[in-house]
Amino acid sequence: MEKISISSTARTPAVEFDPVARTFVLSGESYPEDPFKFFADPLATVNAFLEEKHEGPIHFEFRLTYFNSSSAKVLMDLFCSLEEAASRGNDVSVDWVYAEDDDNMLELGEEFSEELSAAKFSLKAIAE
Amino acid sequence: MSSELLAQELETLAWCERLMEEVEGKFPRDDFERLHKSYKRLLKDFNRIIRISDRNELRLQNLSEELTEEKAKLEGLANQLSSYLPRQVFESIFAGKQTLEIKTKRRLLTVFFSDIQGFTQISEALQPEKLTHYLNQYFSEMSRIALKHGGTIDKFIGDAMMVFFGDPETKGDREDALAAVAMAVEMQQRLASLNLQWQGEGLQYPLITRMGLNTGYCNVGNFGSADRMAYTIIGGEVNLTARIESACEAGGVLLSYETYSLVQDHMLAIEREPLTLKGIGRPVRTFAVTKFYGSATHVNEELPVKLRLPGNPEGVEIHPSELSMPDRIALVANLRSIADQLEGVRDDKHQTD
Repeated sequence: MEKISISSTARTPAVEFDPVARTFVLSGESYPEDPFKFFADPLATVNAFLEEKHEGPIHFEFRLTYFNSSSAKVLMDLFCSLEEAASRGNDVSVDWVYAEDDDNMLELGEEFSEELSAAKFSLKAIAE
Repeated sequence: MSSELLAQELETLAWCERLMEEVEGKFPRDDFERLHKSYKRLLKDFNRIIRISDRNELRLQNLSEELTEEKAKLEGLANQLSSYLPRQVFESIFAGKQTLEIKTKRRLLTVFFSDIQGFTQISEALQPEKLTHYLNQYFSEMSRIALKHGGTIDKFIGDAMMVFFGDPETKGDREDALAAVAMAVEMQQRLASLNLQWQGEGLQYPLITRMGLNTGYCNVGNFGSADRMAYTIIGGEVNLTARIESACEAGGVLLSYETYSLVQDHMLAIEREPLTLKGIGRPVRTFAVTKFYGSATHVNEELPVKLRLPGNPEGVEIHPSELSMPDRIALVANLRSIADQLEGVRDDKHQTD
């Protein structure tokens, strides 16, 4: 399975996925002109990875500062896949990292955490 | 997210759950469960998307309000700053027509210079506060007239004022020159009535100005450095205008031949002694404005007019063609002031735009 490394732009987030280290980081702002086109390839790889059983821990990190509704739908699907992977016995942890004064991103993190029960979820505030 | 908004969907979900129980064994339960699970997830996603969307909208709304406030603040600041720049230049920059680069271009401009005769003596005779008061009123009135005629106020240098016509907006060479001369004449007229008003307030010496105009090609644009620049004009024609102005009679308007030739159909003028200027090979022809008509109908100046006063049936005969412009303007201002006093009209009636 290939590594993924996509740099951020003004409208799209940075995507870093390392299947060997079993880490995934999504950071920046996300309001691509065509969200499904932007996320299609990386998510196909990530979903295929999550379908498998892994021996070591899997760590996903979200460091988003803004995302639109379409990106939210993509995130919800990804969270669903993470929960399913965890239900299948994988050790899945998710960090939702937000700026400490960004109440909006905190609330969104809380919103997404509702999706997870088998996967471990943490909200992490950072100073800007 | 209120459950009322999704009442129908929730009812469908409940109905699906009831149906699963009712049709136990008659319909594959796995299919039902799959359908139920998908619908439940869809409903949850939909619910969440609406919440996210509402939150984003609220955030955008707040940002929009902040931006509106910032915009108002910036506009207020820009308006304050606009007083430090020629209005046309300021508007041109804000409309995106002007770039803030050290760059100049050549333009045919009509340049205007004025200064107050004997300003040093006046400033010595007046308290600084009084001087500031009169000078500010003078410049305010002159600026108002300059803007009214479309002039670009380049700068104030002590008691002197520099205005040009033809950039950043131009109405054509002739129209620009005409507007410049109309402005100068109106300035002298206004100053004559201001002097009467100030005399009443106790100003001992009237402010008498000389005005010079010239038309020619100048370099216009941003001069200076990237840190500090000024939109101004330079060139031999600008210097020539300053020299013409210094040769002007007190209270008069003196034109170069180049300006005169563009506006001569709208005025009467007397040719003055040519000026011999350092650096200019041939003498410079100049013309003193005696009467400016603008677009008004030409009046026969040859016929004398009579001013009849009570107790003096013979009256005083005035020959318009023999009057210099300063005398004519002073006489008009005096007669208007007398008429206003007789009618009980305040002076600011004449401050029209």
